[in-house]
Amino acid sequence: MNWEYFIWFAIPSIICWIGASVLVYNTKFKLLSNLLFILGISIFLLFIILFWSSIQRPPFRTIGETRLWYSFFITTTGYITYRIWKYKWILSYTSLVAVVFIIINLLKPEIHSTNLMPALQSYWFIPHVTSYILSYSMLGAATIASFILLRHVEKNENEKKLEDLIDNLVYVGFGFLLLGMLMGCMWAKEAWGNYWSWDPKETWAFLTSTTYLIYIHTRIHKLNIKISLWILIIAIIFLSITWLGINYLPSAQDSIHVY
Amino acid sequence: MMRREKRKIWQLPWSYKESLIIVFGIIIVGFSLQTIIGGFNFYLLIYPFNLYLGIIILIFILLSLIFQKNAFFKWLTSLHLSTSLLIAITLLSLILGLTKQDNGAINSEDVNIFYHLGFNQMTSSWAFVFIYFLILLSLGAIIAKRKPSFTKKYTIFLLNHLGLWIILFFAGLGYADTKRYIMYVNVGEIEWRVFDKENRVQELPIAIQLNKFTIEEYIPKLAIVNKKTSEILPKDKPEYFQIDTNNKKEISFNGYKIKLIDYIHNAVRSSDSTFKEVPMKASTPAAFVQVKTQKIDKTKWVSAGNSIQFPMVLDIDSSLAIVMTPAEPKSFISNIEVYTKEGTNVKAELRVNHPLKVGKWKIYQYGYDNNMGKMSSYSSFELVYDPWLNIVYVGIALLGLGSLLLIIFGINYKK
Repeated sequence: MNWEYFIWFAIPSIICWIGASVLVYNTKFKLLSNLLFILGISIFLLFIILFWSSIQRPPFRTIGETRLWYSFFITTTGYITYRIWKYKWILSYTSLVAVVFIIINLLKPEIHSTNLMPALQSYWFIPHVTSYILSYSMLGAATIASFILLRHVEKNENEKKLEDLIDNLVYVGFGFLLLGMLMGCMWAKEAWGNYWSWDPKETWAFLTSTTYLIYIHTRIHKLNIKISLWILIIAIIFLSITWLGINYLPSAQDSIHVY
Repeated sequence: MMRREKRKIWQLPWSYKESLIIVFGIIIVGFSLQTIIGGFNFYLLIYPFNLYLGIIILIFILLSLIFQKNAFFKWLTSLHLSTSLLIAITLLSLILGLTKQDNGAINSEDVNIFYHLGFNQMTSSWAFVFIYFLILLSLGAIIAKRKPSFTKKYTIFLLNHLGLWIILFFAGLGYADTKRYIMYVNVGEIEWRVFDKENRVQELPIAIQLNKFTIEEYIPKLAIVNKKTSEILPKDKPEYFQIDTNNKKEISFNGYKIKLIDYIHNAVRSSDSTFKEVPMKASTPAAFVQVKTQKIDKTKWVSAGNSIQFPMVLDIDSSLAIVMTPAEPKSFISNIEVYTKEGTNVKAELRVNHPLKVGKWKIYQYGYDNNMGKMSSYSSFELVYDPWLNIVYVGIALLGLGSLLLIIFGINYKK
């Protein structure tokens, strides 16, 4: 099983997810849409498992591999959020994001079989990256919801339930973000003897988390919701730079996190 | 009729406007100070001066608790100030994330306004240090003020805020007390001299003897290069062929049929064009490869070579050739013996990600002679002494537990 087979798993998953996202709006097909969505996630997970077992190293090394996990986690997050909060659009939008990342992976895999250098051979590797990608998925879902809420706010509509959903996704996503960062600290200490060294990736991860903290504190303060939602949008931009943009920043050319 | 008076700026209690003005005023003072006297020297905070400053911070927090009705302390523990400080630290970090940081070495052409403002050494600029200090005061006072209770809300608040405060307090104030040195030890020799950050030689009360140094390498890959441009094909999406000794089938690669006939991981040249297995340090991976098209059918040994053995390539035609990628290290292990002045003697196998603790020191596998690879005659170690590490770990543990509870309860943490 190698990357060339990806398309044969990706397309069925995409079809399942898109089918489920459309059918979910029709109450007659509720069960079918649920089953389709889970089937899509299962097919995708099957590829990850087969891919992992064949490359003989954890698939967390390249940007393309992190996008693979992102597609898996954001659909899973979307499904769980849908089941708890009953918002149908969350299924559609998380599917859309997953499909975009799958298409990027099909067109520009960036998944070159890289050997694990000694510094990456650590038990912190998998939990550190997983925690981050999970967090990115939830914060991505929160951003989708914040765009929807912004539209309601423009129309002066009160959507308390949607506000709660966003807060919930941000709290849980932020928890994973912090956990990922702390595990990174422990790992860095073991590998380099330094738990924090303001490496560009660390700096950007830090300012991403402080931006989410600003959101959380403005929400506690019940500041104008519009300001809070815009902070979320700034935060996801910082998050994207941390995750995908570091490789292109001139200030980060010596970073140990460029891959 | 009720007349609602509009609140004037600077009228108590202070709100966002005043908080932001004060915080950014402090940043401006910091930048001004920076242009006049240069950056903040963290080594001023070496023990016991960090202890004094720590006590001052704690006394200040105690005062904030005693005089919590006072308007200033009310403001210091307000959400307005917390949020303003978060905005300030985010913006300063943004500068830090966008500016290339240096460790003192600077070219004259890089000396510009941003250099004088300390952008290139952000974490030791006065503005950053002031905000950091203010966060310690404000966060500390906020934790002290909150009435303890056995609720979910208070527990999560305490774990997250206290955890962060402990990390910031001990990592910041303890920074000057940490020592880190690099030690280079030749194979078979014993060494106690180290280099500090400024490359000055120091003698430590700890000595390391390097008995053996071994590097294990990954099996390399093959690629097709354009000999004139040294670009790997296909041009914008270089492709590599991973050598797999279990799979010697012919495969199509870049439009050529190539086949692995033989592979030797520890190979040494036995004639002009052949290799044999010799398990010695100067050995290098070599592969016997066949390449076929309708016109050609060639077989040859290919090797990336090393500093002793020449590289070998398989010329497909006048412009293209099959090459082997340089071997990448899988692991490097130093067999060491550590001696301390107190008389302890520890034997260990040191690897990356597996440091060794000896007394107050932690020893890390740092590097080796990259140009020589397996033939490196030395191994280098980093020796780190951090007296405040354990208490920082306590902070990390509290914060970790706090974030775990945040994940479990989500929005319900307030209930």
